[in-house]
Amino acid sequence: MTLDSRGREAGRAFRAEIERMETTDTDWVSIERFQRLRAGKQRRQRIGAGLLAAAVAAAGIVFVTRAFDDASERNIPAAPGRTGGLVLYGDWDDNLQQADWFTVRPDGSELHDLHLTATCAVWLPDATRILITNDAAVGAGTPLRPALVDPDGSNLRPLDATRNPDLNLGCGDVSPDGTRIALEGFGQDGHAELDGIYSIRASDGGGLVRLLQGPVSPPRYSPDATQLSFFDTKEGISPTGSGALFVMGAEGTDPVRITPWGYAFDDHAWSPDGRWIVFQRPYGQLYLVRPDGSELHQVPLNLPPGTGALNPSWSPDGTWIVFSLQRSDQAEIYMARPDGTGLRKVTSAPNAQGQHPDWAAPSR
Amino acid sequence: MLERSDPTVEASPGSFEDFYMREYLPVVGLAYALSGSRWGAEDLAQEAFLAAHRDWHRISTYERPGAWVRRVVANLSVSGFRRRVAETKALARVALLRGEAVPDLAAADPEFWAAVRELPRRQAQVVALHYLEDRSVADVAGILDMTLGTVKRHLYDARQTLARRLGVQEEEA
Repeated sequence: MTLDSRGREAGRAFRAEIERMETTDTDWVSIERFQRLRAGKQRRQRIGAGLLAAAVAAAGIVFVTRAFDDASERNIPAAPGRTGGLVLYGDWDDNLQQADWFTVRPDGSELHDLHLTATCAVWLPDATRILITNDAAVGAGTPLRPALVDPDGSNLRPLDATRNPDLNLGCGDVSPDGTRIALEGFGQDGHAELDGIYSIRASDGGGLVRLLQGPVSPPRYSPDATQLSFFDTKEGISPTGSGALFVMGAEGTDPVRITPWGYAFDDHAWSPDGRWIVFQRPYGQLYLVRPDGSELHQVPLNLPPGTGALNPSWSPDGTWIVFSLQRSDQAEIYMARPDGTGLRKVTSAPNAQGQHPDWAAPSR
Repeated sequence: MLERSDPTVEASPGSFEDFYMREYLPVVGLAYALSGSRWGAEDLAQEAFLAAHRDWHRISTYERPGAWVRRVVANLSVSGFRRRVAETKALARVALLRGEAVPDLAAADPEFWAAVRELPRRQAQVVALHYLEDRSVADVAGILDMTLGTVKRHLYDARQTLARRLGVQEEEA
C-alpha cells in the first residue's frame, strides 16, 4: 500500500464514521442546537463585569433561583465570612478562548474585576503577585510567555528572557520560595520535539531548563518544593483525552504514575501540608490521592443533578477545596470540605463560566 | 454528505441555517482530524460557525464561505494550547449533558491521523483537507489562501515524512 492510498482510505473511513454519528444522534447537527449555544453566549456577553458585581451584591438570591432549577441547589448556602483570603478565578470567554480574571472573598463579597484577559492565572505563594499567561503579547514570531501582575491586575511584567521563538511557555506554578516557575512548554508549528515541562527563573523568565520531555500540562510544586506533579495522556486511553497524574522530583527526576490511566484530567492541586493531591476525574468528580499513589478515593460531594466539579484547589489552611461547578452552559465557583461536607457557593452569576479558582492566604 | 460531486464548486450559501446544516459535519470532521480531540472538535467547530454567524452578512457574499469556515477551524485546531483548553471544557461538559458526542474513530486508521498531527502545522492542514475532504491541490490552496506551489510543496514534504513514519511507500515502485 502506498502512502497515497493509505491516506485516501483513512479519509474515507473517517468520513464514514463521522456520518454514522449523524444518523444515530438527530440533535447533533441541528440549527436548533446551534441557536441554543449562540443564545447562551449572547446572554453571557450582555453581562458586563460591573453589572455582575452589582448583581451579586444586590440580588444574589434572585440569581440563584434563575440560574438553577434544582431545589437541592437552592439550599446551598453562601460561603461563611470567617474564611479568609482571596479567591482568584477566571470567567471563560468562548470567543477569545481565554478567561477574564476576578478576585472575590470566599464568602462571595468584594468581587473585583482585574480587567485582565489570560488563559491561566495563579497566585504566587506569598500572594503578592499573580502569574499569568501573557496571551496579549503573542504574535507572528512572538511565542507565548508568562508574566506577573499585581493582585489588582495592574503592573504587568513580562517574563520573556527565554528567546527560542519555536517554544511556547504556557500555564505553570511558582516554587514555594518564589525563585522558579515550572510550566508547560510546547513547540510552535509542529515542533513537537520541544513539548515538555520546563523551569524558568521567576525574576525574568530566563534560565530555561527542560525538566521532562513530552507531557504538556501545567505542573504543580509540592509545598516543600521537592516534587512536581503533572498530568499526562497517551493514545488509546478511555475516555479520549483523559490520562493519569504523575509525581517526580523537582529537577525532573524519576517520574512515577500515581493514578490509574483514565482517572485524571489535567487539573490538580497539592494540599498545603503536602499530604494529599486533589484532582478531577474526566466527568466531574473530585478525587484525593496521596503523593505516593495510595489512598485514592472520591470526595463524596452531594452535587446537584446534571453538574460536575472541576478545577479543584485548596484553601490556604487546607480545610476547604474550592472548585468550579459546571452545569450545561455555565459554571460557578463552589467550595466544600475534603470529606465532601459543607458544600457552599462562592460566586453567583447567571451564564458565567467561573473556573480555575486559586485561593490565596489573607494579605501578609 | 461530506463529498460533493465537484469540491471546487460551492453551492450558494443561502441562509446561515442552510450553510450550517450543509457544512457542520465536515467541519467537525476536519477539527477532529487535526486536533485529535474527540471532545474538543465540536467546540472548535462551533467557535468557527459562531464567528461566521456574527459576520454572516459579509461572509455570505464570499464566493466560498465554506472555505472561510474551514480555514478558521483549521487554524484553531492546530494550536495545541487552544486545543487543550477546548478539550478540557468540552470533556468536562459533555458527560454532564448528553453522553457521548463525537465517536472514537478506531476504524479510521488512528495511526495515520496521529502521524498527520505530528506534522508541521501547515503540512497537517494540507494533508487533512486533501485526504479527509478529498480535495484537489487547487481547492486546498483556495481554502488555506496559499499558492498552488506552496500547497504542492507542503503535500510533498508531508508525504515524505508520513511515509517514513508509517513505514509505507510514498509512491508506487
